[in-house]
Amino acid sequence: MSRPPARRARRRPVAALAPYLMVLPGWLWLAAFFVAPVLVMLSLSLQTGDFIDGFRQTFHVGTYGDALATYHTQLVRSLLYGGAATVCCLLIGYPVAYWIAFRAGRHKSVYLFLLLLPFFVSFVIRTQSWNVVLADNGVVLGPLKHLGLLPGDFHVLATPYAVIGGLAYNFLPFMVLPVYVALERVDPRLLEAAADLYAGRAATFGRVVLPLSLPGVFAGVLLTFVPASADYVNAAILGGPSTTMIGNIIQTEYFTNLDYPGAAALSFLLMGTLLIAVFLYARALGTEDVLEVAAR
Amino acid sequence: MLLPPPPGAPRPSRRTLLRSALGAAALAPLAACSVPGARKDVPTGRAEIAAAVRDFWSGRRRTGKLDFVNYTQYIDADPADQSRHPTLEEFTRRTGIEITYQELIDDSASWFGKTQPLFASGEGIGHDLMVVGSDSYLTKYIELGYLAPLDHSRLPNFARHAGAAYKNSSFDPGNVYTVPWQSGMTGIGYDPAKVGRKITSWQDLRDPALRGKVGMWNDAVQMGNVALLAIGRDPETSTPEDWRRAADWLRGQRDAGMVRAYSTATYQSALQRGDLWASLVYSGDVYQANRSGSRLEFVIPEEGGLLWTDNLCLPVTAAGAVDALTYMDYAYRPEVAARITETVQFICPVPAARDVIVREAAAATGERRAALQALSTSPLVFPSESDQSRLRRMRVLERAEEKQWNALFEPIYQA
Repeated sequence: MSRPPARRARRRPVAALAPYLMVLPGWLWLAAFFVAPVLVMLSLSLQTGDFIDGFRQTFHVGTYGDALATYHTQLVRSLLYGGAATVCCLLIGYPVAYWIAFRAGRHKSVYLFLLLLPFFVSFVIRTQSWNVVLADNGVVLGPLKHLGLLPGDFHVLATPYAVIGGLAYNFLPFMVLPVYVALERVDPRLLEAAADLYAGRAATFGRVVLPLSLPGVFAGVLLTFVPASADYVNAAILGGPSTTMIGNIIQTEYFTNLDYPGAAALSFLLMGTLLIAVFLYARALGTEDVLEVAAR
Repeated sequence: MLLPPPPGAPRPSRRTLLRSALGAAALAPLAACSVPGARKDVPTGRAEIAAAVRDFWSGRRRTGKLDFVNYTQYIDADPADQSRHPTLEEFTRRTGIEITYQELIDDSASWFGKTQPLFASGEGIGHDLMVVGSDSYLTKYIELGYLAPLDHSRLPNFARHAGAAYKNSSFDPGNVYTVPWQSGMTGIGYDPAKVGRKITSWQDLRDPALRGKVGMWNDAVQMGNVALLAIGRDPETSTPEDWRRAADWLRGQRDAGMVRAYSTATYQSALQRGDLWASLVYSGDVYQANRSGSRLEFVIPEEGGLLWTDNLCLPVTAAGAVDALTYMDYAYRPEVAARITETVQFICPVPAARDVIVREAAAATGERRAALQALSTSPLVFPSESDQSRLRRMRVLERAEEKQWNALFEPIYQA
């Protein structure tokens, strides 16, 4: 912004357009693969008809009301499960990221790789394997029951805890990585400065490290909460009789019932709820600043 | 890194431009695009069907190539090399038709989802022969005109060897579009060691002793039909009033805390591990579990079990239609059917295959002899007369009925 105004005036139009041309592919990509599909789905959600005879645009908003009336339980449950999984991810992920950033020394990349290693296995297989690990008389619960530490009919699978646990497990790296990046960028000299100013470990963490890592936490929460709330694999594989999430409903509506408007309306309701939740979270955290820091 | 906006760029005009463009873009598709109906006129009545058969088959020649797509592990396999399928190789030797065999189908719903747009665009799916279950998707394939009517004059083996129970079913009267590939039963699978007694009735799945140990499915078709059997109704002649009572039966089971999970994805392994003591199962599941060391039992409950059929059919777009029809007929030769049954262990639609297996058992020795003997007497593969009499077909649903059906049964497992 210190450029002399004289040079600016002499720039040719093509040069002035260059930045726009450079972001053009990105915009086209977004338009073709995000904006267009969203509009198509929005349009679909307002149509009526059925699969065989076709769907016609009637701007029928009632679909949204019906969908909400029928499935609000599952919608709310999805947010609760997603939120709980996010909290778990934060509680587990922050210390992990902190440890890798400050204590792992020159092995940082090894630990980061280990963190990502499970991702080389298919999502479904990874989730399915928890069924083996947590089986009622499996490697974990079996011995505990044998020792009399747990009652014989105790089980984890087929409960909400299993679903939330599965979500937390599957989305953990999405929390750890952004937090790690934020912590990694904390200037060590700031820690020295804090020590020089007689801040103890707790004060250094609370007043220097934590505030500086908040942008990473914010990104991590978004990356975890949004996909975890929309997930349907964990509920299908680890869940019990009353753990259906909104993703499962959308899947059934779309693939089994071929009710495209209903499925599209549910998707928008989910998107809307998530946006509201994220917005409230951003407001609560005072994210004007957070986003600014994140963009640096 | 974000590029800074070029200084002096005319901001307001860009914004207005963008806004109006977006506005137009947003409204146009909203109003314009409708999803066209997929229905085609499907021939009905004997004369119309005969004409459709003539239309489709006249002028078609053998191409020497056949593309066959199936579910996984659903055909004979060489024990030494699972990727080789002796009956397919023999078919090529006999007829000179080269087969491309792929196991791409996971379940009806996703396969329908994948193929439907290809059919709708007229592009075709590139396969000449596919296996489709006797569920609502088969009805949709037929209703949408995606299947070729079969020329039965070229299916002599089907006419001669197909069992009466597998011909002329309610989902495809007269076998106009399909012939059975394999059949199976839906009943109860349980672990006698855990349950501690014999299970004989659907009502046992509401026995308080099994609370929290029963597996049911997230599949409205199977669940609804099973529940109709449980309340003593034949699904094929049931009324919507029966459906409501069947749904009540399932809800009662659910509210009593009987069900551990509604999941088609996990019941098999859960039953093997002992997390489930009793579950809705396919007949083949129990055979497979026991082969890997479990001691489960399969029972056709006294109120009846479900008989379902997976079917061979030809996409209308099949280039190798004649080749596919040739294979269909070949699959009904008893020796071929016997070979396939030996591997897949489902109900064989060719009763004469049993004689072939008995003959082979007599000629074989040792382990193979024992295996063949067990197969020929297995009630899961060749159900007895009394078992057969307790099997019922699933209800074929009209479209309006399907909506009503799903609205009744889906909320039970999607609570």
